[in-house]
Amino acid sequence: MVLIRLAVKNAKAILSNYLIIAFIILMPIMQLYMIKLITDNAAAAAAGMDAYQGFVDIVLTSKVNYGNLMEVYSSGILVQFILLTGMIAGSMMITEREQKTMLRLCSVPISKLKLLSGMLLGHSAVLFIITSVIILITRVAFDVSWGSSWINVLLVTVFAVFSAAAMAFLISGLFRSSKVAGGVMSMVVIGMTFMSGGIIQSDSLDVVSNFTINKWISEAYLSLMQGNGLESIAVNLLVLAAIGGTMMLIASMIYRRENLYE
Amino acid sequence: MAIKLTNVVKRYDTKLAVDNISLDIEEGEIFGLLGPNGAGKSTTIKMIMGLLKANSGEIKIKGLDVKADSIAARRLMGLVPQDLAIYENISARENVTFFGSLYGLKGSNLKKQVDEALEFTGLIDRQKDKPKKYSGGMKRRLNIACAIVHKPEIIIMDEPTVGIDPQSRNHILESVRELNRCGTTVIYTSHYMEEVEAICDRVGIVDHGKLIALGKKEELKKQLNKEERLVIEALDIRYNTIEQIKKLQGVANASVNENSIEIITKDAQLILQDVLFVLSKENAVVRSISLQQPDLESVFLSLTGRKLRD
Ligand SMILES: Nc1ncnc2c1ncn2[C@@H]1O[C@H](COP(=O)(O)OP(=O)(O)O)[C@@H](O)[C@H]1O
Ligand SMILES: [Mg+2]
Repeated sequence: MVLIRLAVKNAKAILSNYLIIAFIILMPIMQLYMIKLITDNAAAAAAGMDAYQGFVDIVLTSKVNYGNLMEVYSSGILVQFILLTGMIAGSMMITEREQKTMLRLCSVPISKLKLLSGMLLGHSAVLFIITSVIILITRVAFDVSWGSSWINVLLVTVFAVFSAAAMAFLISGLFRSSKVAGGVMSMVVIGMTFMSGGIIQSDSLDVVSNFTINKWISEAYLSLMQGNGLESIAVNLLVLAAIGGTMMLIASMIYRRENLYE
Repeated sequence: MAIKLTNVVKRYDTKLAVDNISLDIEEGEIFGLLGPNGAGKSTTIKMIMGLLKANSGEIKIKGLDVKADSIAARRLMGLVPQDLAIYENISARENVTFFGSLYGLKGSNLKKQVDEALEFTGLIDRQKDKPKKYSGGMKRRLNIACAIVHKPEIIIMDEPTVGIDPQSRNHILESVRELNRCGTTVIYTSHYMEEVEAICDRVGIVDHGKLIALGKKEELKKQLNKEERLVIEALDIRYNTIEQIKKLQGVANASVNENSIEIITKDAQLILQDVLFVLSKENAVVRSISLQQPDLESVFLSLTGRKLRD
């Protein structure tokens, strides 16, 4: 029960930042809208039967052998905003220390494990809601197909949320000041998006991209969009579980220190 | 016995913050922990709450070991932290409700106790406001409301009046008395002698991590009864002057606070001449001389040679 209360409180705390939430949901939608405009115009301009597909082939290098532009960008941009939300969740945990409420939380008769689980649960719930909303909007507004199985999409989302929440937890353990954490983490998110090929594709980034969370999530979504089944994303889910699990483990070790409220 | 500390030691790296403190706090009393900044009060409080682990020694809360039974022990206590620990961007009521709910309160019971806590701290009229809009004193009171909502048997207040106006301070001191009248054991830390003097039954004086005096406040002052407290108001007091006075025969201790010199001595009559001689030699302009009752400040001065707020 206490776990649920903590989760609800922490979820509310993030969701009550209406401006940030609006930004996180509207930004990807706007980006996708612009991309759609560009592709539609280009398609219209290049008169021909295969115009649409042809355009995509030109713009995207040969590295991308699946899907149309909207699908590639939907998954890429979605992941970027999942991580961004994770980052906000992480800095909320630092704020909790800065405003000393963490000290008060540590003085109530609840184990540290429950306390931290409650927070993580709340943050995960927010991540899950935001991801689902963005997916639904792209589906309805832009007709982006997320594959034939919603269960599989849900599965990828759960793993994506897990790794993003783990990242949030790790950030909150690593940094003392929420401002520093915010700055450093936006760099990391942008950097990972870049390296994962979310912005440009190139051979040299191919190897590096394996070390980004982005690649494993967006590749999984893309594969589902292409109509592939669970077996096609099994490796991705395993890698996400491993990355998330490792970050979770490191973070819990950091949080073992006795004055975790400082 | 509400709380029992036995040979408690706490080090931060090399800094010895709490140096072998043993202390019993009786049920139903208001116990004052008095000491200057950095004396080790907050560190002691954090160890009692189980927020820090002692390097050695033992702490029992109504017989429960804070290390082994930390959750059961914490259930008996409510902490008012030295630094405000409230959410600025949710309403005062939501703050109190949230912390109340973490103690397992729910439904109408939770609502009732939140009402009582807000009523008690005088915030009920402004309960819907966010603490952002509160004055310093109101924030301090909310800090207390969050700690008493679950009606703990033991309330620990760590400098709850720092930096607020006299009116809010009096309100807080009065509410501490009221809580105690209802049977709550209170531990109250402060570096303001007047506060401890006003509300506490028993006092422990700490300095540099050591408990240097412990007892009923009258007893502590009685120890000084053999000693007298000579207060001289004067202008142009120099540091050097005090050093000379301290060296005079018969002067136990002396300190200066702006324009007033406080001297602890066995016999004021005996030393007065010498003191006045030093003052005139150093060109200090004496305005008044008085013999005063020793207070807790004099106890501290007599024990350490310093004022509480040096
Ligand atoms: N987290 C910490 N790390 C290192 N030293 C500390 C820490 N907290 C307090 N101290 C030191 O321990 C001593 C006691 O501090 P504290 O218990 O806060 O005193 P008080 O509450 O009486 O002002 C001080 O010298 C302080 O500088
Ligand atoms: Mg303190």
